[in-house]
Amino acid sequence: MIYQLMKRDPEWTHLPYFILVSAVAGLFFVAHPQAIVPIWCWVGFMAVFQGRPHQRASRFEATLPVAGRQLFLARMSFLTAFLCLPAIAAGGAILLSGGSVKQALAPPEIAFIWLLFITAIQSVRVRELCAPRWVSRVAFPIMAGAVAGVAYPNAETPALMVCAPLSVALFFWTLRAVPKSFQLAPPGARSEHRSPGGVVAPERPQLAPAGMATDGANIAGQPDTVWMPLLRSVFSRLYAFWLPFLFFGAAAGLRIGSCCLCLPFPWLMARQQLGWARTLPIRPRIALWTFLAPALLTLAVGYFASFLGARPPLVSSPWELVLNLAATIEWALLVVLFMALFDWRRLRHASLVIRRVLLNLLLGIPILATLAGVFLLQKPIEMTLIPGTLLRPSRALPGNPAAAIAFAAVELAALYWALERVFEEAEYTDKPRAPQDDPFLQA
Amino acid sequence: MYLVVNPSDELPLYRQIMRQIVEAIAGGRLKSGDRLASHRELSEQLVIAPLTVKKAYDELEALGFIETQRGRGTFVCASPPPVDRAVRLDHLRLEARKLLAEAYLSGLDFGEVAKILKDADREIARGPRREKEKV
Amino acid sequence: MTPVLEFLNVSRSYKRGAPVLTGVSFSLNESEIAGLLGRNASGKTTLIHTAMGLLSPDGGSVRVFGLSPTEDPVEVKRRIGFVSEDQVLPPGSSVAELIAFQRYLFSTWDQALERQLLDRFSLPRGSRIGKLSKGQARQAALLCAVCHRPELLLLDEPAGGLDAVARREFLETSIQLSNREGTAILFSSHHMTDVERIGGRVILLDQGKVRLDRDLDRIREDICLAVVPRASAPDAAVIERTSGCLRVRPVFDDWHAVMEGTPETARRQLTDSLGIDGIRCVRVPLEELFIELVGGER
Repeated sequence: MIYQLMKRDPEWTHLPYFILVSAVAGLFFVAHPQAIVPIWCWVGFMAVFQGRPHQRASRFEATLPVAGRQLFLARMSFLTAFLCLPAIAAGGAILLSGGSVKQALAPPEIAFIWLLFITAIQSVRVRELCAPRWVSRVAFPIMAGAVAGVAYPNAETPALMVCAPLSVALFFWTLRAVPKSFQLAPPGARSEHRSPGGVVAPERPQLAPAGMATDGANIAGQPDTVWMPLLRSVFSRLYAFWLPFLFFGAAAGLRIGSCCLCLPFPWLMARQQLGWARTLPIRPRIALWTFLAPALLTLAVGYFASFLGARPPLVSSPWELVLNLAATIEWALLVVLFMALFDWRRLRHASLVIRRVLLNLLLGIPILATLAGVFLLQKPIEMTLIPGTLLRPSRALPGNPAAAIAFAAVELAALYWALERVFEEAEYTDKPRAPQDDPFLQA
Repeated sequence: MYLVVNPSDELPLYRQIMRQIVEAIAGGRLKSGDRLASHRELSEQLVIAPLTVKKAYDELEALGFIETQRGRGTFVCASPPPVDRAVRLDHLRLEARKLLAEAYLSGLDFGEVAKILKDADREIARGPRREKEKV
Repeated sequence: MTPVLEFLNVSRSYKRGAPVLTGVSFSLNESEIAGLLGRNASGKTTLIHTAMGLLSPDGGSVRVFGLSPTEDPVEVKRRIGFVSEDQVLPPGSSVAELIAFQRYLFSTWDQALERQLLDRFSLPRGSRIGKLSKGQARQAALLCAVCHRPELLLLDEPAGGLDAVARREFLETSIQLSNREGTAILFSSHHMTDVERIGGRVILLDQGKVRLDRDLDRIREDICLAVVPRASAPDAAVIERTSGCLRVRPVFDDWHAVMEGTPETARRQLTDSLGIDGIRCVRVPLEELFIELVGGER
């Protein structure tokens, strides 16, 4: 029964991939102990974010004739498996590649810290179907700091010995408190939908006399710009989360890998809202630029930041700087083009499976190449190979800076033109999913 | 002038409106020279398509019951439309036979049929009974 | 006069060999209100999205105000209002922000109508759209679609999941718009009474083809249902061959045949062609007609 419930979790199918990725990451741990830290933090965050630790059961499960305790057990078992199995796989991989036992214990330690975090969240407001979301947001920075503290090999914190018993104790305490059936909302809540109280903002008096045409700023709510709805729909919180990764990736020289990794997730979130944007009488390129501008800006700033600090000079002449920057931006445009091709109406007869496979290949190969370069070849492969591929034609040109820059400009313009055409001819045939369409919230 | 429409009725909406206006004129509730609501007003009141109202009004105008005066509105005609009496009488005789046949099949006698006719007469004079709306 | 909306032999499929629309042709003029009926997955949403320019047809062409919605999207969308059951408005914006945005985008915005509708729907201006109930979110969408006085209103099951009062308000607002601005309305709905109320014309889609495209009054007066006992006719082909027969389907012990013409003429034709008595012909409301035309066997 518990196993059946565990299998129903939306993340169940992703578990094998996590284990695989962790095992592979573990193989490189011995050679690069520092590089593994941000990856583990990221893996932990993804596990926590995707695993939705504040949910105890889905609405559908709450209607089944299953006791609350069983639902809770199933969920905790899944979350434990979700964190510990990849950690054990990583530890095993470390041992296999010749690391010490202490090093091999590091991933399980990190996993147990995350587990304590999750158990703590699950213990808040046990009577209800899900804990309040703000708990995870508040606790996350604390936990991330703890994880970082443990992951550095210098720190001597007996994390395993502290976190494991704490988690177990908290788990049993929560188990005793779990009710026979979960409530959707606490008593006294305004409605089933857990909206915070007082959603209605007080009306501010109209500044202009009634009847006169007023601009957006005079209406109650005072938006700074009328474009707020479009900005809000394209910029999710997720976008803000990925921008720093983009910046650090660009600053570290991993421009291509970071583009392929950091742009798809915000794109997927924005894509759900692009259907609405297409019903408006605005040119499609406005929505495109709303998405592109921050990413390109971050990349450019990151690229210039990579020159800071004690490093050997990365470029020999100013025009090579311009070409590198152009290549970086071109790569970002190329990634967005690959993603936009998925919805291109001229490809609509290709099956969904083919399009998905194509997209995964187009994005996955550069990521794998980057990781291989960092971990296997011990050098940032991008700095030599891929910008070279993009710029090789320009290298063949006479060493005239103006000609090279003009060539880069032409390439950039052509790529942008292609992206704009594909984006304008996009068709979104899947049903738009509102945030309310959370699989956990569907009965 | 209170009109009731039933979208699911066998009779199309425009015919329902026509029938009720004709009944009102026959019963004296609408007198000649009375102003009717405009297309827009009536369509917004009854929540039906304006073209339906227009169709009803056009048919009534063709039959001679109402007339539209440009810029002033729609009014009930001063004189009722001419009727081919003989044709009408034949049609009414047929309807009467149908009514009696149905009544006799249901086990009613002539006296009860007469009572039913008297009630119908009262209804036409007074307007649709309010009880109907409660259903 | 150019029709407001024109479909010329439009075809569309999502997968090869599974067409969603086949040879759909119709046109909608100013001030016309047309109801689009069809079973779920009969292509209604695809048709409306194609009219809006969100999907492009595989074959045939679409003309909105004489323009192509895929070639001139901005000009076309400025004059169209669109409300869909599946629409997802940006959940993070507040109602006031969304209205301000729409007011900026559409130069023909009518502030008096906006105020009137805000009062009538009692929408809380400061609350986020993601926190509104389904009915309120739909009303906000209707407000955004209607206040810029569009020439064409496309409604894709706008009243789905709304209570009767909200549905009636929706109809009232649509009628008001049609009266004041001469807006043409194409709306798809599962509520037959709504269609019978305000629909001047009915377009019935069945498996991607237009089965019926007629004035509602003509449908009511000129189409009837004939009930033929099964024993009298061994198979449906005999009945189908009778002139004026639109469809036959078996229902328990009878054949139900949808016939063109008044009940008397239909009865006469069937009696002549089958040579039997005891056929009943009646006029039926739109919902029954819909079920008879597109329903399955029973």
